[in-house]
Amino acid sequence: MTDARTLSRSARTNGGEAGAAVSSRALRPWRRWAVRALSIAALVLVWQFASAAKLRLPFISFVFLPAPAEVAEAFLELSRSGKLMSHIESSAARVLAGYLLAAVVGVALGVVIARKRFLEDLLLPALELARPIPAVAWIPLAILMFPSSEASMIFITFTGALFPILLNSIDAIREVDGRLIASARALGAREATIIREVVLPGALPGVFTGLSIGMGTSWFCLVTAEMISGQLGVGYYTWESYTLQNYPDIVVGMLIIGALGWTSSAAVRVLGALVMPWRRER
Amino acid sequence: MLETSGNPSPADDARLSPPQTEAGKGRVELRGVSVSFGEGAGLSELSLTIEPGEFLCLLGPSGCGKSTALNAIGGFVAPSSGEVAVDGAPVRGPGPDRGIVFQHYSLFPWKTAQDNVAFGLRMQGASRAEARRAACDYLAAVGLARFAQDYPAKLSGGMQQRVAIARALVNRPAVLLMDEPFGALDAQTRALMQEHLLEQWREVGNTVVFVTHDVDEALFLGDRVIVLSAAPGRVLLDLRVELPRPRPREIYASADFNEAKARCLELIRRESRRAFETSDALP
Repeated sequence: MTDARTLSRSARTNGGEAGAAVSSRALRPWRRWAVRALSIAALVLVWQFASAAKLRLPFISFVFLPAPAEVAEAFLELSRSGKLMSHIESSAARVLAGYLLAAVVGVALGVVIARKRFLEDLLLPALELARPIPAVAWIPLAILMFPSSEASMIFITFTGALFPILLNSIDAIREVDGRLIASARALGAREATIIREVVLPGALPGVFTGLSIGMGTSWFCLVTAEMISGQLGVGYYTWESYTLQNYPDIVVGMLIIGALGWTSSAAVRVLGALVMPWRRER
Repeated sequence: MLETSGNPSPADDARLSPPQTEAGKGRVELRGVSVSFGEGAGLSELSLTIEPGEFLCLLGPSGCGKSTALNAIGGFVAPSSGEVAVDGAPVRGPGPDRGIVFQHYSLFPWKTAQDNVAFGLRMQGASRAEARRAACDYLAAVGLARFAQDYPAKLSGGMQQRVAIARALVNRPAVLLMDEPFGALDAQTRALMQEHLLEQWREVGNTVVFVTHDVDEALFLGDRVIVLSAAPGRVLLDLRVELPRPRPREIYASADFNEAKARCLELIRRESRRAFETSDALP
C-alpha cells in the first residue's frame, strides 16, 4: 500500500520537494514559527535602526519616519481614546459587506462565464474593461451612483475583492478534470447536478485561492473607500492623519489594516480547510 | 493492497452479490463509425458488433483511436459519420446504461468511497439515505467495507480503482467501458485487479469494452481481442480468445496464449512502425 500511495501522492504534489517540506514541518513546527516571528522582529529592527540613525540615502530618506516607539505610543493613545474598536468595527463591517457581495457575484459569474461560451463573450469584455480601473478612480462615480456614503464605500471594497475572486473562479472551474464530469454524466447526472456536485466542489480549491486573495485586496481598497467616510474607519483614520500630517498615526492605521487583512485572509484559509475536508487527509 | 479479498472481514460474510445486468442486454454496434480529429487519434469507418455479456479488449499502437472508439460508445464523442447503437438504440450522449472507468483519479475526491458509489444510485432517483445504504452493502460485497468512509486520497491506487469499478457497476450498466483502468498500477496490483474484475464481470454478466496497450492483459481478460491499426483506426485483427475460464495465471505459459500473443504483437509492432515512419512531420 505504501508504494502506491507515495507514488500517487508525489504525482499530485510535483515530486520530492513538496514531500521534504511536509516532513520537516511535521518534525519541527516550532522552528517554522520561530522563523516567522523573526520575520516581524527583523522588520521592526530595521525600521528602528533606520529611524534612529535618521538614515538618508540618495534614493530614500528615513529622516521623517516615526520610530517604532512613537508609533506604539500613538497606538496606545488611540486605544485609550476608546475609538479604536469603533474604527475597526466600521471598517470590518464595510469590508465584510463588500467582500461577501463580491464572493457571491464573483463565484456566480465565474460559473456562468466558465461554462457558457456565449455568456463569456457577453460578460467578460465588459468586466475586463472594468478590471484595471483603480479603486480611487471609482470614488466620484460611487458617490454619484449610491444613495449613502456607506453604500459607496461598500461598493469600493466590492470592486477590490471581485476580480481576484472572479478570475480565480473562472480558471478553477475550467480546470475541473473532464474525466470527473464525464464520469458523472455516465452515472446519469444532469447539468444542474454536475455543477452542484462536481464542478463547484472540484473548483473549490481554486475558488478559495481567489477568496483569500480577494480578502486581501478588499482591505487594500479600504483607505480609498473611507476617504468618503466622514468620521469612522481605520482607512478614514489613516487618511485623516495624513491630512493632519500626523505621521505616527498614519503608521498605526497602516499596521492595523495590515493586521486585519492578514488575519481575515488566514480566516478564509481556515474556512477553506473546514469546507474541504478531503484535502486535509492528503 | 488487496488483502481484503483474501481474508474476508465480518462484513463480507453476509456476502451480497452485486446487482446483475438484465440477461441479453448490452449489445453494442458500431456501424461505419468515423471520427475526425484535427490531428488526434481518429477512427475510419469502424464497424464492430459486441455481443451481450462479451468481454472485448481493444488493442493497438498508441494513438490509434482505441480511446476514441470507447468514447464514441460512451457518448462523449460524436461520430462524424456512421452510428453507434446500444441494444438497438442509437447513442446520443452519455447515459447510465454505459458505465465508465478511467485510468486513474476519476473518483470524486470530495466524496467518500461510499458517497462515490452512492452517486449513481442517487442519479437514478434513490434518496441519499437509500443510496448510501445500498452503496455500503455493495462495498461490503466487494471487500471494501472498511474503506467506506475514506476519501479517495487516502486509498491506494488499486483500492481507488476498485471503488471506481463499484461506482460504475452499482447502476447495473449493460455495458462497462474501461479506458486502461489498470495502466497506472504496479504489476502485482494490476494482476490482482484483473482477477477482481473478472470475478465482478462473472457475477454481473455485463458487456465489457476494455482498452489496453498490454497484450498479456487483453488475452488474459478478453473473450475477444480487437487489434486496431494506426490512426485513423480500423480493425486489423478480430481474435476470439478460446482459452477456458476461469483462467489461471499459468495460462501465460500455454502454447495457445503465446501464439495469439505473438500475432498481436507482430501486428502492433508493424502498425507502430508505420505510424512512426509516416509521422516525421509531427513533433
